[in-house]
Amino acid sequence: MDLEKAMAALPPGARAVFVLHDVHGYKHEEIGGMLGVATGTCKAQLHRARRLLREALGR
Amino acid sequence: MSGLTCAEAQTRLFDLVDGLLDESERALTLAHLAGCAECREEEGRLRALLAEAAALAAEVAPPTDLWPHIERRIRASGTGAGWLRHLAAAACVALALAGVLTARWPDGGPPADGGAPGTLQPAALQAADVEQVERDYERAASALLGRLRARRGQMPPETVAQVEQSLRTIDAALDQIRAALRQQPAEPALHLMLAATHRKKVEVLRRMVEVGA
Repeated sequence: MDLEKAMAALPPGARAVFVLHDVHGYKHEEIGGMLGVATGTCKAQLHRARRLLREALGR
Repeated sequence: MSGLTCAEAQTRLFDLVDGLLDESERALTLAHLAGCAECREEEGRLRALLAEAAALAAEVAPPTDLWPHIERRIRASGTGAGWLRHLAAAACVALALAGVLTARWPDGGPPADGGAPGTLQPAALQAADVEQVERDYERAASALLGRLRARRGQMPPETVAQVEQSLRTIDAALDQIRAALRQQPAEPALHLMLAATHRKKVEVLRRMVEVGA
């Protein structure tokens, strides 16, 4: 499976944070402001996305 | 000083690669990595994944030429403009998600027909142009949607579902931007968002038509 496909299969919240942080380089504070969530929530979603992606991609 | 276990080191890897560990935590983690090939390999795989993700930005970027402008507007608007912040979030996520979706397809360039106003420069928009721009984009979207529906049966159901979800997200963002424009018809950031979001919708449809062709 390639990265784009794995990203498309992520839960929406985790996917949005991953795309904004790891693809587009926004900071947690900025993403928190844009999405209206706490910075800690944003970070937790990012970690969840990365874990799920690594599982899906087997790496 | 006692060293970290592999499990402890690996729970710190995300913060390490993001540069978020304080000095002592960072030193402990690096010390573990220096002596543990398995964890170094984990770190390498993580960094490779992040490099791959960052490389997607060039392909799937939302219109980055627009976002710095919009962000400045949002910051300049201060706390009284929660609606604008909310809209930016909706539009940004719509664009980012649509970007992810379209990045999965080969880029064969836009088709010559379809009449999509792909060369429009949103930065040049004036308030009086908004209605015309909306009409142009809606016409392009509608023509592409018709072609897509005709080929719907030949596309994997999963792909159809993803496209429909993406279009719903974009349409919801468009509705919110239009509602805000009715209240703030002269707000340039809204014009930019409206045009960028329309452009993304047409782009999603256009790519799908190419793939289904």
